Amino acid sequence: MNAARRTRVRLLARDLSAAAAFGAMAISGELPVWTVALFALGLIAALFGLRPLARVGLSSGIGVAAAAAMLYANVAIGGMDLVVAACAFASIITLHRMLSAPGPRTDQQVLLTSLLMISGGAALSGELLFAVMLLLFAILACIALSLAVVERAVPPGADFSTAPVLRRIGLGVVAAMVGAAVCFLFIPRMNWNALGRRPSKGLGATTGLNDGIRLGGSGGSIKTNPRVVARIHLEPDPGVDALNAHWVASTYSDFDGTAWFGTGDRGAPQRTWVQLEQRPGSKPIRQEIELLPAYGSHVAFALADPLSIGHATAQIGTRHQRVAVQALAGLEVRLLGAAPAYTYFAYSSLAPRTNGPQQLEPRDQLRLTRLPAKLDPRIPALAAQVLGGEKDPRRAAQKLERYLKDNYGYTLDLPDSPADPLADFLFDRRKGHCEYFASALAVLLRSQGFAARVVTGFFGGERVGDEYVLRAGDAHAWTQVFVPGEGFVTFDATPESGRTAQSMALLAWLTAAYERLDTLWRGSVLEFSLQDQAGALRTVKRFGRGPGRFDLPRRSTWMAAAVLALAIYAAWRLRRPRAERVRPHPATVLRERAERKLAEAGIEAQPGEGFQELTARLAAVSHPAAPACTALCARYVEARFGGRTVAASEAQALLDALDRALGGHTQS
Amino acid sequence: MIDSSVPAAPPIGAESSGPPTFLSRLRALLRPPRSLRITPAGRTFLIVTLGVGLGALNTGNNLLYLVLGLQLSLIVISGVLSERCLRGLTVRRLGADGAFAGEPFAFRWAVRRARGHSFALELQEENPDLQGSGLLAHLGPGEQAIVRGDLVAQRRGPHRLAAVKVTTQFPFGLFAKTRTFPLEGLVEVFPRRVPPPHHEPSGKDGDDGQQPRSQSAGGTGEVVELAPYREGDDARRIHWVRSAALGQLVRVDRAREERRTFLLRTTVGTPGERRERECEALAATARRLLAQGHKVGLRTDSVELRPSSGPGQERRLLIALSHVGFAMPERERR
Repeated sequence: MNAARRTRVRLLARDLSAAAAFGAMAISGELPVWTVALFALGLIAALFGLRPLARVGLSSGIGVAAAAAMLYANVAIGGMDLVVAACAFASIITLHRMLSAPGPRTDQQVLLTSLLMISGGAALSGELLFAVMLLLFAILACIALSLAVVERAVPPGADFSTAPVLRRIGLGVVAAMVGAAVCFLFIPRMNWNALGRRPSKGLGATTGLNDGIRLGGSGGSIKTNPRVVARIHLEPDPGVDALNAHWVASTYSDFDGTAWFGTGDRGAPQRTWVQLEQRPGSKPIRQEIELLPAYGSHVAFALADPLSIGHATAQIGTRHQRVAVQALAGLEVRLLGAAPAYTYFAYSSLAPRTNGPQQLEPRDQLRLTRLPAKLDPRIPALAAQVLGGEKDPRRAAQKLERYLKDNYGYTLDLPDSPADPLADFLFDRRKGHCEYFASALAVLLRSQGFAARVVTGFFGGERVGDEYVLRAGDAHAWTQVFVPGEGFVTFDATPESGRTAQSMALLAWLTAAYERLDTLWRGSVLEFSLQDQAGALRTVKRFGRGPGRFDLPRRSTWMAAAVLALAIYAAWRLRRPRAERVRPHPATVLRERAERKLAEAGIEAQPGEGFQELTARLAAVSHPAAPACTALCARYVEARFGGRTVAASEAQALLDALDRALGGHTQS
Repeated sequence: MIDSSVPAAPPIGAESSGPPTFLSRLRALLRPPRSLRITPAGRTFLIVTLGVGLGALNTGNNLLYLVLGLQLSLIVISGVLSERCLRGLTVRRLGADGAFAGEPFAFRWAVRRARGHSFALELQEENPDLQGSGLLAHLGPGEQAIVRGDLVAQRRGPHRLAAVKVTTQFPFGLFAKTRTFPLEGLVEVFPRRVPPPHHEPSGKDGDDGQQPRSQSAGGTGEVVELAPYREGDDARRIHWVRSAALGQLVRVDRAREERRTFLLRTTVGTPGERRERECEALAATARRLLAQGHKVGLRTDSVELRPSSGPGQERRLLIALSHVGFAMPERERR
């Protein structure tokens, strides 16, 4: 590989390693947009070999200083987190070095500032993607550094094969990763907690649950988000792969024509445990729900119908801290305290209620049958037409649910925001997502005097291991109708195909694989605590001390392992000398082949006579092979001791000439 | 300075780098098999590692612990890979053809490796007076490479070489690990090359009977001039072809090919700048005289070289001059 190509490879590795380090920060989603845009532009320029700052060192330095001052001012006025500002500054420095004239010193500066960015990424992000970025950074940075070190020893203009270097570095990186895992496992976990910061939600994080539902716009985009937002352990375990259950988070009673709202009543007492409903006689399902940082909301949810929620803990790093819960109106329970992740318990009943109230409180009845002031008159007419005078709320809800499912389509493609989104859905577009179906059903029922409300939460539950996961795309809205004696009964007018996450099959498969890795990542890295460390050490200590769970393998197993190890070692030893045998010089090979040909023709060297002397002897007696032998000998000397290598084709031509000269001649 | 009649008697061996002393042998014995130096990039890397460690301890962030683990692991891997580069090496010193003080001279080492690969090797002599190094990018298994380095010695004289240092910064350039190969040797550094002095040294009579120099006197060398033949001139000097062409007798004058003999002498006995300058001037004079075909000899306090000519004599003279003030090996005392 020539010098220019080596330099290109080295700079490519360097710049891509810096990109990986920046990516480790960017996946947190906390970096300012201008930082991301600036770095992306700079990276593209660097990858195309453009170094615009090579000749403007002073002014670019002033620019970096100005950026530092701006970031500091932002931090000082509270506009930016200190760690985020530091990360942004590290990216600016890295970019400045990347776009400056390349050289050994610049390379090292780029990689060291990239290391700072990786550290910043560790402080900002907790994503599995961070591990990918860290791995990429380690590989590329090691390649760039080692090529730079070797490059310094290559004479100017000389060719040099980088393959041996890359092989060694490959082994080195693998060993470094193993070493990193060992260090990670055994470095004692301590936490002074003198200056901490809350981890971010990461890229693609979503609340999914807000204080209201607004129809119109691109509100359905969440349905395509495959990120896991919650993990739930159920007891008793239903044992099915797809739970297809409604998970209630909030209910909304007030509708103004475009939006639902009205969870209200934030002054409820804070408790450890909130009882939502008493349902004696039914065996509840116990749920241990872990809300992941991607969930991004403080609203607790539970399987329909939730009975109680509580015993919540906030997870900050590896620490778990008990937090209170607060019940709001409309079944909504909020987790108190700012934390990226929570764990709580809930109990729900799947059995239908039989002893519910016969009627609602007058205030609730009024609220749940109230219609928007400017309701399109076609809506009550449609409801009346579909119901045909039906007075039973359950049967009315069933009829309207069937009507909506049969006559309306599901779509997430809702680009514009009409003035009356509900009328637009029912009479013009005739397509919408779950919020439209839920709203339509509730309003159609209310228009005929039935008390109904919209519920938000999730629909689904996909089994992963021994637990169920909910994705952001499982966020859902449906309707509850008050049925005397049964309370609120769930009706879901959304077609079944549109209830769960709407991601593509391949994406879903990839996401599932990612989630499995993410589970492993969270369990064994992010949440690895001092207790886990002690447990791991105890496991190592107990191993081989049977009796018990960690009994030593049987003697025959040890013997088999020893024989296998010996066989591997023997194979390695047998292979190694062959692999590392000193290969003779190509010129020596040429000479030996020529000597063999001469010997076959009966021309043998006398004791103590070398190839040159033999050639001279042939020339002295004017042997017909002397000219060919002399030419071959001269080329041999030149190649062996003069550093002028002999090509294989040339060597063959010399041997062929010797063959022709030797044809039919023998000499002792 | 030259042809001095008052030769001083410098303290022989006063500046000699003689055989290794007990202390130097003890130092060599106690010397660790490898020495490690942290490069500037390595220093920064260690500072960042420390910072990440403190950050991990402060926040309990497992990802910072992971980054810290990677950094510590890279430090260990760096040590292992650099050790593999230095292990199994054989170093042989080939030396230099000629070294003059104050200017770079080519120095060669032969490096061989039985198995495995070595990368980014830097070879140096363990002698503070010899600056410079040779670089080798890659040495494969079973290969031998000749490494050439440009060294500079600031002072003339015999420089005793005790060991060859082989250093590598492979793989990451964070640390420079050095292995020292004990290898005794000597490199002669000739006096610094300076222009010869303007004044002519006077010749030494006797040895081969040459007459004092006369550039244009009749000799057998190159043609100096053609002149009209005058009465009393040697008839053998008539240029018959030109005479026939011009129609009058023309005499040809040829330069006399003189081979005179000079004996250069050192005059300054005490070590110092004056003696160095004298040695440099003598070396320059000797080179010029030898280039003119004269015979040149040298008498110093410890050595007397018989006048002779040719490249061999130049080398002998330079070696003798490089040893002025130092103990000279017996084989050079001729």
